[in-house]
Amino acid sequence: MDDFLGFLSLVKWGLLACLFFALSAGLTSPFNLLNRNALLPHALTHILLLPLLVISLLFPNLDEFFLIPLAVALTLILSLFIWFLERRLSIFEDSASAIVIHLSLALALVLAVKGSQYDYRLLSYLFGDILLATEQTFFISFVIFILTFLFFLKHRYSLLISALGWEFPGINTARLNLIFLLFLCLQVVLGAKVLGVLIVSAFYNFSGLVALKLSPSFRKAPLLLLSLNLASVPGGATLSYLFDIPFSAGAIIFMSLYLFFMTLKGR
Amino acid sequence: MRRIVEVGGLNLSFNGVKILEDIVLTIEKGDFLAVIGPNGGGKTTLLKCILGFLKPQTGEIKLFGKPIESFREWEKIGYVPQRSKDYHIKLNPLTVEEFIALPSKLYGVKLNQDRLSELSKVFSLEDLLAKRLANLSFGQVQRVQIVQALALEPEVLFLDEPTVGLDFMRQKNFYELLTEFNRRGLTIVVITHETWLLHSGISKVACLNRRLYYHGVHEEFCQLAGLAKEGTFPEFHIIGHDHW
Repeated sequence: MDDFLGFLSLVKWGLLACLFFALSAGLTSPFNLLNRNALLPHALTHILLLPLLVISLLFPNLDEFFLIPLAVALTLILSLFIWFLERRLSIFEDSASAIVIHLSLALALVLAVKGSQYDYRLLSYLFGDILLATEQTFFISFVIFILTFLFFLKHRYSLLISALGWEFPGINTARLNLIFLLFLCLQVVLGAKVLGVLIVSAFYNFSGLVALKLSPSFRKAPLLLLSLNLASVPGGATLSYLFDIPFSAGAIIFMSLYLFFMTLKGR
Repeated sequence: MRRIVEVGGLNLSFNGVKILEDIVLTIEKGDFLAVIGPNGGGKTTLLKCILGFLKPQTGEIKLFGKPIESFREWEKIGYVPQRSKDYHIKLNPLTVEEFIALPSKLYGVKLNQDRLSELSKVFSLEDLLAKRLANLSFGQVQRVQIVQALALEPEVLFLDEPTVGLDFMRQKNFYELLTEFNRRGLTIVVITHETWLLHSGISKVACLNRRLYYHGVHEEFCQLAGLAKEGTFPEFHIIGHDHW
């Protein structure tokens, strides 16, 4: 028990940052799922590599407090290219996402090879490290959650009709979709920093899917979703400690469990 | 007569192809207007321009006397879009009651519960309110859509091919209900392919095929088109119409 408490004390800022990331992701995930765009957060985690390399080359000593907003801004610009391609070429969003992901990865590879400069923070930003999270990381995570929560509270119905492709006279969702993408970029950059690219998109899919399937109404879905995402953080940490596995693996296994039970129930 | 919609000199093209050309149309309070025309004739596009979903290259649209750009009282307008399969996405968690209340949430207007109860009764939705929208049948979704469009007591109701996929008797009963709402003062604009509708309670007809070829009163249109004024179908007498 002392060992476990010691482990918790070591990762407390990381876990707290994770908790608020999980809550933020929970509030945005239903709209991605209803829009049949479940892999958008996953796409953003891949696109993120290019902004991180660019920042690493241009500003090698940039403080975390400025690095995150800059990474978010560049990721947002690259992800807007998905929309541009989708409309310009009249292709599906997943095809456009695939093009932008691979282009970003290719350019990042070129920069990595030609840049010949190693930045240790790059690994931390891509694969996460819950141990490296500081009070500042927690603060950023908390602020992102508060902003996401206020955005969700004010615009949840407009986001819902936009995700479902429904039109209502006088309701223009184009600007709202852009702000939504900005929130998604903020969350993904933070999530990748704390948890790593491999797990970020799991928080957008597992709990969201279960909540949307099992919730009796739209009003009750966020409660179920947030509870499941919240439970996944200590659940993942416990599995990580018990089986000496990475936290991200523990959290995904934990989330898979309730998805497995839902499958057994036949919903 | 108070003008609800005024369209003047409206032109719209997509990729150089003219979809709507020099449309001039006025919809007055109390009208029950049927917009008819062939597929691809621009009926839905015109409706989307009137509702602000599409912006024409040239022309002017006024709603309740105000230019559409400065119009804000959208709760005065009820809209039933073409049937969409998206209502049946299994993940959609909205209940029928939540779906009906959506416009009130979007426009920030309070939903009158008495009105909702009355409409639920008229459209036989009382037992469905707590159900998820995704679990309803085709016909049930159609009724729910109408109730949603009527819930905020709009002054005008736009319907885009609302009865596609419904059998003849359900169509007939549906239009009988619309006629009743029109008698009570609701202005109705319906886009339709159902030519038998021209024998029901509509008051005006607009024929659209890129250009507006005809816009006038129902009786005159029937004379021009060689249709009987009060035509009926033999099926009306054979099939009972005690249900939707």
